[in-house]
Amino acid sequence: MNVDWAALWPWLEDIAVGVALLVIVTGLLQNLLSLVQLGLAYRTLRRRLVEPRSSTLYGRVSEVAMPISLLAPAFNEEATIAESIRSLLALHYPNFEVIVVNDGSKDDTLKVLIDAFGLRPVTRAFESAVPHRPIRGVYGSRDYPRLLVVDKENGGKADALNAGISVCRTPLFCAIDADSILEPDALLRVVQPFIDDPLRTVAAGGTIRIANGCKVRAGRIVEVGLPTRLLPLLQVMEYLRAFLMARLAWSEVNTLILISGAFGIFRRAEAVEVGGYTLGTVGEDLEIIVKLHRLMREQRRDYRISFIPEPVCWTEAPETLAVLGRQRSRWQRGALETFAKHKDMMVSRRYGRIGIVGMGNVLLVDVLGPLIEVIGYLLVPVFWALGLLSLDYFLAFVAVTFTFGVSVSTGALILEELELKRVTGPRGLVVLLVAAVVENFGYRQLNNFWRLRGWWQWLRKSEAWGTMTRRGFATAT
Amino acid sequence: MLLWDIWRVSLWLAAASVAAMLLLVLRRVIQTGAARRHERLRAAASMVLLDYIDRTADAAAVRQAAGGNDHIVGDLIFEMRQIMRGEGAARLVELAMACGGVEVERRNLASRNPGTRAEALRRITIYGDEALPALHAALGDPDPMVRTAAAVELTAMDSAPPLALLAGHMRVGVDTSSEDLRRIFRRAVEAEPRAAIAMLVDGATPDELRQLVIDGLGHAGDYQALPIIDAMIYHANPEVRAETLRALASLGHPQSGAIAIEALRDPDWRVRSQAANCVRRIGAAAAVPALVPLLDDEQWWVRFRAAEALATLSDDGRSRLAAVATHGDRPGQVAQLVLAERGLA
Repeated sequence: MNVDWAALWPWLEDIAVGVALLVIVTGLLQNLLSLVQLGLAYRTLRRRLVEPRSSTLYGRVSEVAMPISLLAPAFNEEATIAESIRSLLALHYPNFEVIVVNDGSKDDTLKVLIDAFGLRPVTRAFESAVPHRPIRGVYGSRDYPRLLVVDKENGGKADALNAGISVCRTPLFCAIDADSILEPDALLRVVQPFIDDPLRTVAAGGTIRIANGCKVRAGRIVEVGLPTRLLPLLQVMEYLRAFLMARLAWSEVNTLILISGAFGIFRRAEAVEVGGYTLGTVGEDLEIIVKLHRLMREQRRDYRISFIPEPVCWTEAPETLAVLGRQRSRWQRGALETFAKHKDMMVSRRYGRIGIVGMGNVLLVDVLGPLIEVIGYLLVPVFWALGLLSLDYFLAFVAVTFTFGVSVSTGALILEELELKRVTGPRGLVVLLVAAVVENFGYRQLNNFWRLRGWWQWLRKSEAWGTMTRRGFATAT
Repeated sequence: MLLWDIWRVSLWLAAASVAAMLLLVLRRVIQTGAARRHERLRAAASMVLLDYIDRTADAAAVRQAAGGNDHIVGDLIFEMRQIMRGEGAARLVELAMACGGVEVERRNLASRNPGTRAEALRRITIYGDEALPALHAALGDPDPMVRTAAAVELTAMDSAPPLALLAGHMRVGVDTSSEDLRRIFRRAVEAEPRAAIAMLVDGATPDELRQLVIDGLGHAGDYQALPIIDAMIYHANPEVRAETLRALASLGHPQSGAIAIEALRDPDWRVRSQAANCVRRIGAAAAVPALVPLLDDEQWWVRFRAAEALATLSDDGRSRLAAVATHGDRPGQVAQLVLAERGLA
């Protein structure tokens, strides 16, 4: 059969232009959103009042600070758990307890804890206020009265956090990763929204930073540094953009829909009201915030979900493509799960700006963004090479997928340097500036392919968490 | 044309942002050098500042040691003033005034940035009475953060305005609800218990302010306020009723036992929970019969607080709790847990 290419050509041109316009318009919208975020974040940083000295802050907060339970789920962490918990117990905060939830570890996590802290079985009256797998035992220590260890059957991170919510008795709880490192005054700072606006604040999150390249001693960061390997270095820029720009901006207009699972503080009553963390999901941190928004909007309650740029939780970033790819595919599945479950919020007026801005942002950046961008990578250069698209289409495509990204990443770095100055030395700034440019040429595209894989896994209803191999923090001598 | 513009704008933005960042890197290089010099000057000035406090150096020597940089001197004075009292503190204030510190903070107080204004309020407090007009004026600031900062500082200086005026300035429940208000109002209520009682009697007092006043009276430990606090248990707002029980628990006066026992039957679970806690803290042994049915309350916290109260109040309470614990039902479960937790099982 002969194909009449001459007759088909106009059709193919129309298709090529349509695809290119879709990619360009989506990219433009994403980049415009980023510029708005930069502006909002700058305004917030300019207006905030920060107490630089944590000793002064302690004095100011101590009389009015609400008690907090730190919930630290642990699974197979025998190598690091004792040091991590010692570091948590040494946090500067007047009234807190640490609840470690051993999520059915297959290694000696529980034994290590029992030996290290002289734990013995205790009885703790509690109600299973939210669903979780059965608790096998609760352990306490005479020497460490602030520590409680809950041993339960394995059920995953959300399940372990729910067990912690059930057992805790404080009005606030702080969900953290047991293998992360909190700055000593992180609690003092992250509790600030609850002190400033106690009636409305239901949740608050703090900044997560990459610990690769930092020196750690006794569970504390003693020397801040940048990663020497490329992948974690590029993630430093990513985290800077995500936390300093996006979360701060959305918090300013009360449309924040994600508080990182590694460090977030919640009012227990509302967390229980939404049923705690959703089990069987990989995006439990996004899901609980969206559920909180839904609840508060449906009940027409005035509320705030805030982000504070100062409190810092340090985490170890994946250093290999395989592990990072699994993490990003999982994050993508989490976003899709939550969006699919709550997409009705976008079209109903009762959810106001959360529906339009918050869920709209998820739709544009997390749901459609990666799909359309990957389509662009695959088709637009081919269309242009075949002569189906003119050069201006191709360059506009390059602009929205590469060059705008450079200005957005660099903009976040400018914001950091203008307002926070947490990057050590001019050399560190130069390294990050190079990373801000480089990440747009290869890394961003790779990320989108991983996210496409997450799409595929979500369509196939894969529930695997994926192994997260960690090298462990560099120890200072 | 539009497509070309997208490309051009993207290139321009990328180049501009990279150039701006390079300038910031350059600024950091300069600042790093300046910071080292700053640290040296600061270290030197802090030593001379100690001499100044001991009257072995004068203000000019401190400023000279700081390289003529009054910001260094100002920061050192502010930090040292927070840990220094008496004559040393007075000397620091003298020096700050000689360096024009008050004027600097007054200029900051006029800033459009509320964060800058609030920070200036904190710093201006080192000038003692000199700072009071600025602090009082800031109570009328449109930004609640600034107003709260002013009230916190005035309270710390024992110079807060009269309770009624303070309440008017703070606009409690309108745009201010900070937990700092508890601290502020506790001190204000303690200083003016009569005015506080008058506020409770006044039906027009907003509920949020009423709660702060009740909390303040509870902390003040003034038993004269007991009848009026007791009366708040009949307030329509359950949050006011719950706050009332918290205050009664703080006061711990046995006279409030009957009121607290009555509150155990309140329709709102938060009030019942606070009532159970209140009878426990007051030691109202007469509450035991009213507590037993609460072991089967719909709300866990009510069941738990009731069981805790029974375990604490009297032998009668403990034996009733032990009797309930022999059953495997809802009241039995909470009774077992609380007895075991207290080593009474």
